Amino acid sequence: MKKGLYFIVILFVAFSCREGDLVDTEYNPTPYIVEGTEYLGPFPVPPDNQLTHEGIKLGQHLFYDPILSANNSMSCASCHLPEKAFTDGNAVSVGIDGIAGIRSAMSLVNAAYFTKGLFWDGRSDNLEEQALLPVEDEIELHHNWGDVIEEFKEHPTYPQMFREAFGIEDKEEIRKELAAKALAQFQRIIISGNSKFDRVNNGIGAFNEEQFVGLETFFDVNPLIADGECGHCHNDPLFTTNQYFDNGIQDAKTLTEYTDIGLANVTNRNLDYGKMRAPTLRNIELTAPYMHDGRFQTLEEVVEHYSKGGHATPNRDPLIRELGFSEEQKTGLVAFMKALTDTSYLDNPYVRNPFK
Amino acid sequence: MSKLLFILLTSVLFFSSCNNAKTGDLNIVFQANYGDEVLEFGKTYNQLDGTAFTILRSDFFMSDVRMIKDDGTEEFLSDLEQIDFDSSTGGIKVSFEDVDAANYESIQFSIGLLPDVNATQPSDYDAASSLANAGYYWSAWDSYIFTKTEGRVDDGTGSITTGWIFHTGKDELLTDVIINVDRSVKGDELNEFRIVMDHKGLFEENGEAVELGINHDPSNIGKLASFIDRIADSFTAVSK
Repeated sequence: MKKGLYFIVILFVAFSCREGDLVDTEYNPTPYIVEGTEYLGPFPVPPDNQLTHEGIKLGQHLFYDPILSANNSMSCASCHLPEKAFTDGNAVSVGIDGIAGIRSAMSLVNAAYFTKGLFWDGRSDNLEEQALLPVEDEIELHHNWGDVIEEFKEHPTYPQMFREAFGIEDKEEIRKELAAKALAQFQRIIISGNSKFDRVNNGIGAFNEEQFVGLETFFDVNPLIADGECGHCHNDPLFTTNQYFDNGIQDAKTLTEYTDIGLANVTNRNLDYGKMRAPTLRNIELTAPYMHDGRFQTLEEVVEHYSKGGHATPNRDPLIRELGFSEEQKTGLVAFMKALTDTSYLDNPYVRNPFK
Repeated sequence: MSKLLFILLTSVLFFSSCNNAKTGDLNIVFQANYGDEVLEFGKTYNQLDGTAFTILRSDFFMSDVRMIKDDGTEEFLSDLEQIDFDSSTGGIKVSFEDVDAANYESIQFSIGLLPDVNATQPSDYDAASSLANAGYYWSAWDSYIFTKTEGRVDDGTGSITTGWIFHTGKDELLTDVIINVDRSVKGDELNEFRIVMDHKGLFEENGEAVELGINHDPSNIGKLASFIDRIADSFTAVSK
């Protein structure tokens, strides 16, 4: 009887004092300093998810790892390819079951600055919230976080990486929210601020004639030529104002004729039908096809749309109208937009695919 | 005897401090109207000449917000606020704490940004600041956009599909506003002043309809100056 009691006490003590299985791994996160933001300015970082080398490294691995998809066939990077400014080159993205979504993959470049909602319809408030959604989206990665977490726990390196990034003591503490934090950290370091536009702004080099005409049109600088009105929605330095607009691309005469109601999905306001997030034009040269549904193959088609003014939809923005660009302006606008290309973020080893 | 004196003194101090609270909190509620009605974005209104139009956006920056007491002294409230009416039919509430309890004659502010602030750019600010919003900065002006008023108008075809905008900016358009209030802030209370911005007058000048078009051209600053002057004249303090 006494022996049995001792045994129970020993068992109790052993389990109650059991240290986590990860405490032998050092937890000493190193703050990460983002570079290249001089012209862009500071971006918001949640107090509980400061950038660290360890958090970014974990996010980098999760981003490129197909472990997040139900059949291990796709990762985040399948629709957000670094060489295409983190888009996928398709009109609309296709998930693991071969089912096409309804919208184009948005660029993640400078996502750290994307306040006022993420996705074309702004349905996520921040990167941490956004990162949770594609995993369980039925036409994207079609997995569930419960199973993903179990796979993380059994993975040869992820438990230690979660420990290094977030200080968990036991793999049982791995949570989807920590994975989302790591993915958010990774996305925050994809910074583009060294295009020709930026260099000229810093006094290095000059625009050629085409680019200069484009700049004047883009920012309505020259009263002698037609205003482009571009900067109203795509102002520098980000070349997005983080706002939502109906740019007249849907052929909708009434609210019910919008095939994609965009922001109204979130707000339920009639005045928001057809409004989509203005995407950044940084690296726009690399992100064809264009618009939320990828309807335009080239930047020339995009410029032509704005020159003509698109459809008179119920919520078309007041600035979208027949602008009547000259051929010189059209060529100039395309040339100017191409001066926004900068893939220097690919030089950052934390941005590249760690499995290659 | 000394005990009695002590109790008497502390009682006097206690009751006097309770009855003469020096500050109160204040909400100033800005309400968008069109004439006597609450402004409804997207609703069809008619100008003096009968032209049908809608209003889709109305917002403005106000700087150096302060109130003037009936003894002439000032109570400073805020360096900068942005009033974006958006869809808030109940009004936009701006809250101030610890405002001197007093009778106030007027609320005063400037529409726009003071020159030293207007000399900055969105990238100078943390993204949480209203001044970080690049949608309110216009490089061609080297200026923030002080006010945005936008909508659509019937261009004569019978459908209200053509856009109009008035965007104002640049230092010379910084415009002072004085709103007579004649109200009191009571100590230890949450007080509320309600200010109506009547949009109807923005579209009338000298008894005629204002032509609605695309107006953000700094070379045509006179038209923008007239518009911002009409904004300055559009405010009235009302009872709840």
